[in-house]
Amino acid sequence: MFPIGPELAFGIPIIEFFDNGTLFFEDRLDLRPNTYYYSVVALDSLGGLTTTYETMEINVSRVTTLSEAIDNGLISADEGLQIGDQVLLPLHPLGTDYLGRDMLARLMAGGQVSLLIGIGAPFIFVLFGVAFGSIAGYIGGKVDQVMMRFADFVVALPFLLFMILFKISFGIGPGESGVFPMLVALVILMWPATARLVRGQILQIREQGYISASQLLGAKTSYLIVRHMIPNTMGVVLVTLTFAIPSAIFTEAFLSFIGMGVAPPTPSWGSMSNEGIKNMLISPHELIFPALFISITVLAFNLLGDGLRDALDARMRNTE
Amino acid sequence: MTVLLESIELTKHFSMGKGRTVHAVDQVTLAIAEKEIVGLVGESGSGKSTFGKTLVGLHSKTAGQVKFKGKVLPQKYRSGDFQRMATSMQMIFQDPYSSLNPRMTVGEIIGEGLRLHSAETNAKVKEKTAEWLERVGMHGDHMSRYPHEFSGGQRQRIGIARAMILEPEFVVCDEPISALDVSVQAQVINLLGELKDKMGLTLLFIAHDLSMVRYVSDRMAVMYLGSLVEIGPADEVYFQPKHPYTEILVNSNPEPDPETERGRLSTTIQGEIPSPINVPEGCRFASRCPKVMDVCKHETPQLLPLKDLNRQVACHLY
Amino acid sequence: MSEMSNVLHKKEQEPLLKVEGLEVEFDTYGGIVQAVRGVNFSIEANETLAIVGESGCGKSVTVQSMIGLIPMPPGRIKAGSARLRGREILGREMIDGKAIRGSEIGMIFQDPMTSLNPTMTIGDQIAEPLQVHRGYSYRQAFSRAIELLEMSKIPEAKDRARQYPFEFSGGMLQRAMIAMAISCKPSILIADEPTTALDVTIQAQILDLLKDLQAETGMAIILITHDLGVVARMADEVAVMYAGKIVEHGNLDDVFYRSAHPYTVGLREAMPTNDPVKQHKLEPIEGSPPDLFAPPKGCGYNPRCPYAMNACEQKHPDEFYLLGKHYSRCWLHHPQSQQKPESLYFKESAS
Repeated sequence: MFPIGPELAFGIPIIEFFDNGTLFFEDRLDLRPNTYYYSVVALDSLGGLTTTYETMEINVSRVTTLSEAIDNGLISADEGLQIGDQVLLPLHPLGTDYLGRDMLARLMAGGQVSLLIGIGAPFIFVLFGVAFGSIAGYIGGKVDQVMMRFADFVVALPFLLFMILFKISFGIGPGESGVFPMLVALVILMWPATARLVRGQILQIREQGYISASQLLGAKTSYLIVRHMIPNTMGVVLVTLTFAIPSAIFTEAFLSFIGMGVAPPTPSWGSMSNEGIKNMLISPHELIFPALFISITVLAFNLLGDGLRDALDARMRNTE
Repeated sequence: MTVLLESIELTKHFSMGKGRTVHAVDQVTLAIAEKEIVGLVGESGSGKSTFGKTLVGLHSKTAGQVKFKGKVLPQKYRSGDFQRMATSMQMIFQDPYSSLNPRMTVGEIIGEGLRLHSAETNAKVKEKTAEWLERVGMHGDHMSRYPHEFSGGQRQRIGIARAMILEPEFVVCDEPISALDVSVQAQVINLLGELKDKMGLTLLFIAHDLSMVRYVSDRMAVMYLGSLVEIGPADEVYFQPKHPYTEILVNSNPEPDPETERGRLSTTIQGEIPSPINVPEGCRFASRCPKVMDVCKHETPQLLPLKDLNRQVACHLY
Repeated sequence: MSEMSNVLHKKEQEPLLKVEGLEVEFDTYGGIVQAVRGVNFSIEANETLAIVGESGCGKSVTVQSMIGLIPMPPGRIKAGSARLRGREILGREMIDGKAIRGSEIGMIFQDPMTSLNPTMTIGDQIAEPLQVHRGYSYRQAFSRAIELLEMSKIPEAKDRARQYPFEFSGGMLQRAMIAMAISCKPSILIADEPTTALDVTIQAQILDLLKDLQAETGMAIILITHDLGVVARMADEVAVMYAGKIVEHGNLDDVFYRSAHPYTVGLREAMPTNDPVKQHKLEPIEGSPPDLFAPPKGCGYNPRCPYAMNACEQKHPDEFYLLGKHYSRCWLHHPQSQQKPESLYFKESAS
């Protein structure tokens, strides 16, 4: 019997024996997680093989030592279980990852991060873009020019560089999760596209008769923008939003991959996908599930956007 | 007759950058009397729409003045000015499709004026909206519907109700029937006539359909390339035009009567309308005028009254 | 028998274009729209036929379906025939080895700004039909294009041919479109609201141009419009359309001075005349045209007609002939109708 060490090689716990002066025994062969057949043959008093043997079919990945079982809380210490007994492991419906962590649990936790960034950031920057674009579009002239040049300037800023700067300024060291700076970076750098689109719409809407009519009735500028112009940009805004969400999710994945986003062990769908790529051929589920979750979310938002846009534009389409 | 509204040398230029200016309206002086309908005709580039919009303040004035009941109106309107004038001057727009906000119900569109103005209760606003819908020939329960559910003619009526609900004294009708079918045009024209009589309105009727303008108006004014060239009683201007351009305009106007058309001489105009950016010196019509004289190319003719005739013409022939 | 038919054949020469029983419908989300519900007309060379009606009456669809401009799903020619010099052209691209559309029959459209390709020079666009239909070389076609522009009274045609549509004004563009349409010397020119988007003085120029070209080339013109003034100026024959059918047809004087259908009368009363003698108050036609998804089995004008009778709702009126080729589809002209059709005639019509 040999001591059980902390190394991570697979082995078969053949005997465990707690006794004073007794050694432990564990077979360490650096096995792959397949099914093996172990035969144990008893030795006679002279050390020769006898005919008594026992063959066990053992799935290495589903084997655990008694002490580990106790440590993981699968059994309590005093249950008096023996080697060869079966212990009920908790179910991993989507399997586990390369570290044995349950996929489903990680996906749910990761969803928090991905959805926070993927939905939260777009909502904020679209909102800002709409406000910025409408003001620029409505006021026009020099103000519009200045505002749009500023937007151009923001587009020219290098995204990654700013991510790093934000990370540093928020005092987040390497190996720590930077969810908040990622959010800030996305918001600050992605709004110009929306602003431009909305401004274009506003420029067009501004010429419509109903705006002049409202002015003549005594409407103030803020009323005109909020009550008349912005509702008519909803079609464009919704489309932008439904494209911004998957874009943000992928950006987050990329950032986490290069170490700018969440750091291990914090899960996020993006980072999980990236890790899953490493073991794609062996355990494809590590890649498939997070990728699937991302895809379904993106599809859901696209469909939502389509539906909303159709519902709102059903009215618009009938006006020539 | 008391003058309700007058423009004095009203000018509106748009700058297109690089030192180019569009001379949309140049020194137009026009006095409109109370309860009068003045028709304003002209072709594209004449500036008639721009004139109408500048009168009500939708464009700022480059030069000149507009006086309403003797008081000078602001050169550039702020929303407070619009608020103040909303119960005096309103406008009916040309395109029934883009002049109504597609996202608002008909009730909201018509009631907007009241809501922006008085602190009436919701119920009162609804009541008045329904009342006005009936007055323009529609039903009260159309209030909850959206503009796209209605035809062009009906939308134009909604636009009329919107303008009238604040009971203005002066309304500019900017090509209100151009986008409508023939049989519907008559409906809208008659409605305008009715409302004008009942409410004692003064109207500026802007259109390019000469026959319709003559039918509707008391006086008719003709614009060419931003200037007024002739103004006088509508029938007289139509049947005895004095300015060469008016003459050609009237002659080109097709008459739904075969005999008249057969007897008509083919006095079609030469050339194209010049660009309002590089306005030529002298009379603007000189390049196309069949009666052009030397003086026309150098001196701009002033709008002057003719002797023995209730007419003003801007032409060197007189 | 064959002798008789020969004699008959000589007397009635086949008209240049004869349309019979044309019915066109469209599949839409809301159902089947019957845009054209049985249209007959014919036209000879050197003649101008005006098809008058308001939006939705089917006038554009009628002519467009003849030359194959209606996309055939969702459109469909349900029935009818259109014969050019005796040869059927419905559904066909070529006749006698020559293309119908663009070559035998030319067409100009309402809005010249959107009807021309903004990325091709005007000269190229006019040259195109010559190259395609007549096999001209590029050079030949282009020089012919310049000639055509001159025929359309465009000054400095040589320089203009090298310009793009955005450099032309509306009136000029319409002339360019006319030049393109007549390039292959078509026997028929279809003009679909050619001057609606133009100023009235430019309109007069274009209409005069069309008349001059007709006198030079002898082509027939089918003019579609809603403006009775344009009709009075241009037309020899007039067909009034309402809700997919022709409700009155006759020569110009017949239709204007002896109007025989309440709709024609309604249209005239809704337009102001400028004759100092014949002034009248505008009488609008209340209501709106019927829904062509489920067209009525009776007369389409019935709900708006001030002379409506019981029969009008039941059955669509037949063609009642008045004088010569002048007919009206109105039950008022039935010998047994109670109301006299004289009540129809415009109150102050000329003798």
